[in-house]
Amino acid sequence: MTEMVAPAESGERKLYARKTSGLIRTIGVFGAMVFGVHCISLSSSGLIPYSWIAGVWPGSSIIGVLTVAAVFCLFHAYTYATIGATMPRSAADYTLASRVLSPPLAFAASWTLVIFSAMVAGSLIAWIPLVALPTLTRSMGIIFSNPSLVSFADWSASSTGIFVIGTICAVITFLTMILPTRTIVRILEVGFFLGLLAWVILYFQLGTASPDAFPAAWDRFMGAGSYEGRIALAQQNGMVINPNVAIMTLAGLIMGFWVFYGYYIPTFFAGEVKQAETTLLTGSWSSLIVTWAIFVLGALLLQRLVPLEWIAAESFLGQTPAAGVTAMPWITFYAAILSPSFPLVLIVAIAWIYTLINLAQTYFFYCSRIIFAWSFDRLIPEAVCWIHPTLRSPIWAILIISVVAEVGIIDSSGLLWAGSVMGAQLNFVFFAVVTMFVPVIAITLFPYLKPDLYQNASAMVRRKLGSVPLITVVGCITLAYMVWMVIASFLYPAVGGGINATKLAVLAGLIITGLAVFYGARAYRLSREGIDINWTFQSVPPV
Amino acid sequence: MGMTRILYASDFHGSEVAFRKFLGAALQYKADALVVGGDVTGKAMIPIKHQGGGRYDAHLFGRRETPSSPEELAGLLKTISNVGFYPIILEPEEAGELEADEHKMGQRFEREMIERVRLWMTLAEETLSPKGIHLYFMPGNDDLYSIDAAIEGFSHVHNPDARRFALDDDHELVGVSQANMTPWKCARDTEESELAARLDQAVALLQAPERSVMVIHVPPFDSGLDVCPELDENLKIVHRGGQVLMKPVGSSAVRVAIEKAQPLLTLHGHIHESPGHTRIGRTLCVNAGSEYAEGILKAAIINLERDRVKGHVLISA
Repeated sequence: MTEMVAPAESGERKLYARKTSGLIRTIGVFGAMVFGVHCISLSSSGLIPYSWIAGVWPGSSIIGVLTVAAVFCLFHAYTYATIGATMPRSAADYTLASRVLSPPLAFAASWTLVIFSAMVAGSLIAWIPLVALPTLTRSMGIIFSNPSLVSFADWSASSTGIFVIGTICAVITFLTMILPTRTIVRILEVGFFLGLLAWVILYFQLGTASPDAFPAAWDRFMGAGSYEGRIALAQQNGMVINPNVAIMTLAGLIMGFWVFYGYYIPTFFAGEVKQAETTLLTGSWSSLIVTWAIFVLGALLLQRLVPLEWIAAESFLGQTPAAGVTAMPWITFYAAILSPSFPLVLIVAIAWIYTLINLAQTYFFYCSRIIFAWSFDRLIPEAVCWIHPTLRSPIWAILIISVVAEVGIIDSSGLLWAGSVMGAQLNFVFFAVVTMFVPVIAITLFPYLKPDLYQNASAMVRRKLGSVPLITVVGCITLAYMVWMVIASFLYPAVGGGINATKLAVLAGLIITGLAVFYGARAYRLSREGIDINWTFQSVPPV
Repeated sequence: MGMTRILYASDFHGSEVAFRKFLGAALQYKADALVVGGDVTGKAMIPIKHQGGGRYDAHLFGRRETPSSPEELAGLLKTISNVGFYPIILEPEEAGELEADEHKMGQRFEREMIERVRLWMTLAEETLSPKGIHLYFMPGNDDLYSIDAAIEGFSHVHNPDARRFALDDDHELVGVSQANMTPWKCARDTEESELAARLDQAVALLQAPERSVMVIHVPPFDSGLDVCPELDENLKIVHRGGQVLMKPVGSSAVRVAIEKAQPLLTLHGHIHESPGHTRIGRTLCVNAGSEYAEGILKAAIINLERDRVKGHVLISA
């Protein structure tokens, strides 16, 4: 709690604090913004707008999707900041929902979110062999006429390559996450500035090219005539551009949410944030606005050189292996061919690989915090959260997350069953949104379901719009956004990432296993220890 | 034998609602004994300045409050008390006098703290004595020694600091309120060597340490129960890459004492951000944490059998 500043006039002080009060200053907004940007990711989310949105929903506007999504995400961020302000502790969403709505439902939702988060961390790691390494080695192979580098690029993006290199990267992520926290945050700090540097280079490469330079640059590296034939090729393979830009933009909001996913992650460790109500909201909003600006500027510079229809075609071909062409729908590649400077390409590729590891680390970090909250509530064995005495890290928890991430890598590789990186991430958005209904409904109804707690909450939580609690209004807008994303998944299934009966069965299965874990843990604690886990979730009236 | 259920909490820091919830929890969870582990007094007074005509002016968490009716004033007094502060109603000239005289300010603080503790003890006695439940209410490093007197004189409320009590037929309770030195040099902060001596004296009171409960305000060093944000020389939180850096700040003397005596259970507070439990040898060590300012009671429910801790859970109510 911060001591208020006292004016100098006698009799004008607002608070008389004891000298030994222990009041300390709070973390700044910049710190919270940095983590949000890391989790949004300047690398993976830096690729998605130009590589997927346009082609997965042909006819959508990249800038439109980014902007409309960002606006709705501001409401979603406000909702989650309020969740963190109301329950400033680990896994604030699960903690709030379990205390306000339903403990078993809140746990099952949290359980599902963590498992899918770990899996999608794996799919994000899989981007390294799928995109980052091939971009670097293919560019080098072409520029220096080295066929073996081009072959390596092909192998890296193959199922085997994704599995092997992805596993190596998962091991690296695991080993970095068991290091002391100080070391981990240094690693994240370096990644933040590397990511910004990479974007400066991309802006330079795109911004300094003449408006008609792209077709020739493309043909130089991808083959004569390749540029001209791209749109027709995509249409031959099934691309149909929906002329209704507005509808396609709305359809693309699910990907827009995925682009910005991460701004609200600090809510999962709200217990470590001082003055949570200010820090969480300003941090999440600023990380949203900063990344929106970065990605929109990238879109403006790219669309100065290449029409949106062509970008859509290349993106579509990237999701259509049956087309039998090497598609390179990556902004890093577009920039590299315009300005094929080996040092610049190398820096961008290194930054991309490095920040993709950072991104996986943030997922591992917040998953471990949520797992800690479960252990705190005695829902999972304490041994899972054992802290190594020297490394000061929860090794077993991180190992479990790593194993699940490896499943995500295998899924993304398509090695053992039909899967894909993009499919995993689109599925994650659908599944994450479904699980979010529980905490978002909880906070929306919080003023009415727990009026005593609401009255004691911070001023930010108790803000009103007229006579209606503001969080109820914002929560309803957030719910509407989430409902649309679920509906859009069925009405406008994304190319390569639609929701089918199997995926729904997986979702249901995870929720059911979460419920089983909850009730099993309760029965065990009651019989062995005389402790009812439900006590953790009960209100206590003051005497 | 049967089971003894302990309800433990600490670091109320003057929060009226937290303490009242603590008493309510005792009845809700059918506790046999209540233990409070220290830091019971608030950190600040909020002046509520009379503006004349029944109107008042105050500031709480950066927001101006202007109650103009007895009901509004009562509501503000309650809100201030619930977050652990002491509301004091002053005429404008009184406020000026108080701010000009540091000694007078200190005396007023002390009076408010003692008054609230005594009210709490009276409420506890009224609530618990009909049920035969005893409250062991120990101050902490942040509490002045003068509040100890406010805990005396009750039949069902006791101060276990440097004293031994029988929790039941099988378990003893002893307490140590001091802590190792903090940056704020609180009332009961002391050097590790002095703390070690006090711990030895407390252990010496026990007849069967292996079945005892020790309530020691400061947690053992590097136990996971003593981790808090690292501060720089300006008492500002250190952060890197968007992360708050954390460090252990518990007492090594406490750790050594637990390793030597190996009581059944130790109860700690002091570090609000580190609720949880750990084992040092056979001893279960618990820190309930604290979120008093948010009106949330953080407590531990611990079931004891003769020679073991049967089970425990941490609650946030």
